[in-house]
Amino acid sequence: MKLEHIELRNFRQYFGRHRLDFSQDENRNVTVIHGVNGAGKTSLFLALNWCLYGAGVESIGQIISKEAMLRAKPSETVETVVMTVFIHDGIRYHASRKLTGQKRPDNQIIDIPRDGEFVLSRVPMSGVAKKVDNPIGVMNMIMPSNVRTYFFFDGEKIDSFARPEKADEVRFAVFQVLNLSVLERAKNHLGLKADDLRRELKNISSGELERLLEKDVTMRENGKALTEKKEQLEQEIRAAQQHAAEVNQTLETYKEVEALQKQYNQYADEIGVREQEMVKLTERIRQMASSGYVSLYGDVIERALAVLEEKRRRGEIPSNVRQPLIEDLLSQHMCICGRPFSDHDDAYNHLVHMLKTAVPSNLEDDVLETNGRLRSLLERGPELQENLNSAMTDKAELQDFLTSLYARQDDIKRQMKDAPQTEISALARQRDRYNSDIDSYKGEVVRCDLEIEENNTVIRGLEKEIAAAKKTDERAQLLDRKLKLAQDATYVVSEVYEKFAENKRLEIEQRTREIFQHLAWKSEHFQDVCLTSDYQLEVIDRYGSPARPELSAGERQVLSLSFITAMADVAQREAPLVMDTPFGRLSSAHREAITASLPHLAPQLVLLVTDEELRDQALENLSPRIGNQYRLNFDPKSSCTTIEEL
Amino acid sequence: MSNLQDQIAKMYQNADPDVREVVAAVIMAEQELIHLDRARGINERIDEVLDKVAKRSLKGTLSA
Repeated sequence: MKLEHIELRNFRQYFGRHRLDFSQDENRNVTVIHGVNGAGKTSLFLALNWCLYGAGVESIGQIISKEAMLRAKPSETVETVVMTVFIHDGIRYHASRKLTGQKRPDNQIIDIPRDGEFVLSRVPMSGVAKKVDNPIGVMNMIMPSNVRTYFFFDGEKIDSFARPEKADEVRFAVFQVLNLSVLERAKNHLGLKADDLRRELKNISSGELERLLEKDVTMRENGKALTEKKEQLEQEIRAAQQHAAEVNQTLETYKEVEALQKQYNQYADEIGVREQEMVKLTERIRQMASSGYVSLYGDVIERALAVLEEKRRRGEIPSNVRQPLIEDLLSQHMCICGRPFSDHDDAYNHLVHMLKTAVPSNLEDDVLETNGRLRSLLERGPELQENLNSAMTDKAELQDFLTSLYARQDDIKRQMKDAPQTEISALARQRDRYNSDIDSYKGEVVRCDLEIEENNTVIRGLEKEIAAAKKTDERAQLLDRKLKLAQDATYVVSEVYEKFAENKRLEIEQRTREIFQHLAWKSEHFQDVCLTSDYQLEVIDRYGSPARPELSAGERQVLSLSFITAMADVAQREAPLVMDTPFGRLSSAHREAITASLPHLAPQLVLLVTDEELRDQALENLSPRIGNQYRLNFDPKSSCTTIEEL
Repeated sequence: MSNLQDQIAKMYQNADPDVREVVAAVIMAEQELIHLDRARGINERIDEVLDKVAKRSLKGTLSA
């Protein structure tokens, strides 16, 4: 981040609009803003912090120019606006923050909440500005709000890093500026996420899919065995039928029973044909019974038609005259019988009334269709009943006929089994056994079919259960993969965090040591500076003893400044150093050393100083590096400050 | 700022590409929310990137 300029409107004592440009020249990277105590240095410093981070201001009453408020009429709205323009990673940004208030009759001011209080836009040198959707997030990417306090600071308050009791602040600063906090939080949040995923995975993993798949295999093997058994039975049937046919052929060769056998064969053929007829007739009866049952409810249909008729009579549903027809008649002024009529005569009024009571044509269609279907069912009822009765009679007759055929065939069988010729008798008995086997096999085939159907039903159910379990299993797979990613990412972040933290601690320690040695006038007395593994910032004197408790206020300030600039340097953050009253407590030796070094320690330096802070050698040291210089002039007569460019 | 992120990114460049993607996305999300004491929504953002990367790596083994 490199500051380009800041613009204030009605901010504290800066009544009206004021602008201040920051020097961006690499060789003249210092902007000095002079001002006596109370001239407005701290207000300007606050304006920059408030604009970029909203820091320290809750309501417009805290920052509104009193002059602006005085001049406003009751109920008039007033605005406080600060805009900062800066460049980061080659992109120019406009950041502006605004508060709007309204003056009340009692001269108090109340806030008017508005959206877009903070607006950040990317502004190319040529082209159109584009508003950033997530301004706070982007500002945190550029410079997090909790990091900025190490770059924009009050010089008189920065000595806290050097106080023995402030080790936590040192650690906090290192973590913020070096992104270690980001890594630490990433590590913790990833770890928590991994815990969540582990719990979730445990809850859904039950081995259900494995169990179902095993059952599926068993059921399919069972089905295969049943099919094989059925095929075997059918083979047995075919073989028995073949044997029976051979017996029949042999029996026909015996003159004693030739006639009987022929009769037997005729009955067998007749039985075959009639049994087929019986199957077809039974199917026909089943279809009639299932498709025409509605027609058997004649009373119900008649009641439904009566309800429709009653509703039509009351005008709740349309008559048979359709809406479009009435409209046509009205437009042509012609009755359906051909007689003309005029507006507002009886015929006209009657048609208008019919049109008003008519309902939408789609409802008309539905009602007419329902009516037609009900009437059709009512008409078909007796016909269906008659057909069904006739088919049942046919079936009974066919059953009687078959029974007589079976009896006659049995009679022949008995005659042949009782034949005096033993060969004939034996053959007839053998044929009976074959037929008996065939019946038995057929029974088993029927049982097989039932078992196969039951087995298939179970398999179809299993398929559904397996599909559902697979979904759960896929969820488990996904959770497992997510868990592994979360765990691995946690390990990676932890490792990076450990190494990075240690490397950076050592780098900061080294750089702080170098800068402190350069800035402190007692550099020979202070032999070393350490940043311990628990982030204690320590100065070691020539006796090898910790010297921090003995440091003067100025020396603490120098140590803190060394630490801050070392952090900024190690972090390689492209960030300006903005210091309010930086040299107030420093003696001339420190002041001179710092002014000689500071412009080299930051890419951009903004100093808000009193004349007493920056004079003599210190001013001379800094002069070659000063790009822009301003003076803040406070006018006691108007209580307002103006910015004067020097 | 970007230098610091680059330095961190270099430290995990040898990790598995999927893990690298997750780490980069999580660090970026944390960076955006660092100003909040409690990073509201971070769990959802971590889940989002884990879900995206996991689904991509399991592509072909999942039915949908």
